[in-house]
Amino acid sequence: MLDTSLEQASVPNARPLEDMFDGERFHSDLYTDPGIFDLEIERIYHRTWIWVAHESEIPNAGDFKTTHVGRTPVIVTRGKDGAVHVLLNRCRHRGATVCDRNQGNARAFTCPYHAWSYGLDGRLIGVPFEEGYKGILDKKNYPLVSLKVGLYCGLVFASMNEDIEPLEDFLGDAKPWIDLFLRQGGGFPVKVAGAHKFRFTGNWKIQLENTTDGYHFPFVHRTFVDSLPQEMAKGFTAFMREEGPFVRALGNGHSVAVFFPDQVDLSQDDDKPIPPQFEELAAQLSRDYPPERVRWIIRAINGVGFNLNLFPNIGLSAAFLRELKPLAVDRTEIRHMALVMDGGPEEANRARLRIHEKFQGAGGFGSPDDMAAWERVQIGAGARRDDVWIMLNRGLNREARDGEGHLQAHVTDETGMREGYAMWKRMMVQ
Amino acid sequence: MTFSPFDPNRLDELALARAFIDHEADLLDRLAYEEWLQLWDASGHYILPIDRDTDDYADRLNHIYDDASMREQRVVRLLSGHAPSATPIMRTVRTVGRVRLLDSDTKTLIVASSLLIISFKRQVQTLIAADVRHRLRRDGDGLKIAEKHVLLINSDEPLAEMSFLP
Repeated sequence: MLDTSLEQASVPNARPLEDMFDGERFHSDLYTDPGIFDLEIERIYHRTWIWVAHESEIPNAGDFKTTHVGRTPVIVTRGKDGAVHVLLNRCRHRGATVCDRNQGNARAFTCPYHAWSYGLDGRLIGVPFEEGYKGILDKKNYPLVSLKVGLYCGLVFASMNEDIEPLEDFLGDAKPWIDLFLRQGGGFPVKVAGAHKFRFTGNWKIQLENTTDGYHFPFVHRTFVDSLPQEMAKGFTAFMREEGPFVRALGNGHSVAVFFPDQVDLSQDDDKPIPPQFEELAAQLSRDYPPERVRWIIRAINGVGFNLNLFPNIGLSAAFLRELKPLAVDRTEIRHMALVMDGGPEEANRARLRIHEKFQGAGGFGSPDDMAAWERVQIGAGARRDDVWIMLNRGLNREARDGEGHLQAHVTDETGMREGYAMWKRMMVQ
Repeated sequence: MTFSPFDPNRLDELALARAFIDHEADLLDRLAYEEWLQLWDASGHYILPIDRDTDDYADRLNHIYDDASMREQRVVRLLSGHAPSATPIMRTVRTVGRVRLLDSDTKTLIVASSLLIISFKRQVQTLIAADVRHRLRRDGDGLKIAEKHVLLINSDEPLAEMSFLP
């Protein structure tokens, strides 16, 4: 079924996929070759666990959202019994999508073409004028196609691969970091409270790399850092030089970049004074919460001090979730979801939204500059020079194994990206 | 958006509002951002919402929700020459149309308008469309912006970067 002709001499300078990444550099065809992109969809997006939702996006029975696994449209639903389903958004009759809203609440999905209707669990409920199918269509054999679903701490993953390993095995050593990430709820569960969506003209892996790229921050985000209160601005440049901040490969393509080691476990009081810009908020919160809880909520307001990058499409970064969707070899959609405390104090949640808005999204002080840099990568990588590769070797001179055998180096190093490309190679080369 | 009946007795106020909004559009197209800041009432908010079904922007995630301090920071950032996305700032040509006076009293005018922006950068020309609502406070013979609300036609869908003031 797969077109593997790209491994033959159909392209100038074509080389086998296993030679495209050697552990220190990769060929820029990985950003620009549509044939490689199609293989990535088949061999990565259709074979592993893909993040599709946070449970707080579909809290109630009947809630749904539409999204994609690779480029395949799916609906994520919560059934009457509370179970989460991920269904191909494709009528079994003639293939039309049965839902074209981004999100909502429904009792059933009715195809607009011939009005076949499906339950929240995908079951085919109704076929109009059914006599034309008498004896030839058994409705129970034609539900919306279900994908395998995996849940971990509110994160919803789906897989097209029936033989996929259990989600918990796939997440592996990333799991403790997910647990730590959620402590930014200040004792409340975290909830998705809206998202910035944007598209850039570049390959999806450029964004994947960026989540553990500490090196770019002071350059690309100089104007963001310049806009911060002095103490905070210092923190955002200090990690470039300090010894403590690190990036660690976690296996299966996952990695974590720890920018602020003292903000890894936000449930632990750091005994630091409340920053002046949050004193007023702390005073408000103190009316309803004890001092240690107020300190936790304020400490967590900028999120955790690390970015956790889960291969291939979801990042748990500081105070938000970052989803990437590959649209084409040179086109990618990003969704940055703001997180607030579910049931937590409104004034603190409002502050979290303002912090998110300041950096993220098309009108933020950060995302547009990332997009500009990534688009220039895509343009530059298109230079047809077969001997000029994308470098991925930063920190190889100081990379070492931690106590558990994970490769680790300074937070500005490319250890996390190398982990991602090692997984890429494992999945792509058969 | 609210509708208001056509009222021939308030054409003076409409003309005033229209001239003010055109003036603002001109400042923005010419990147006269410092002058644009001077048009504002200090307590006013500049809002680009995401959600289309709410008036409670403070408790929702927006594309932009700027108070005076954020507006100033945004202008400093865009003009700094240090932001990759804003060097250069996108060129824009905007057209304000369909200006309607929704409400007015001795202190305030509420004005709705349509906004079309052609933007250009690196050989890519794009069209941005929005419904705009200004709350304008009378200030001597002139006006100050007490709130500006720009609802992009695709506010809840993926956008490209906006490295200019819409």
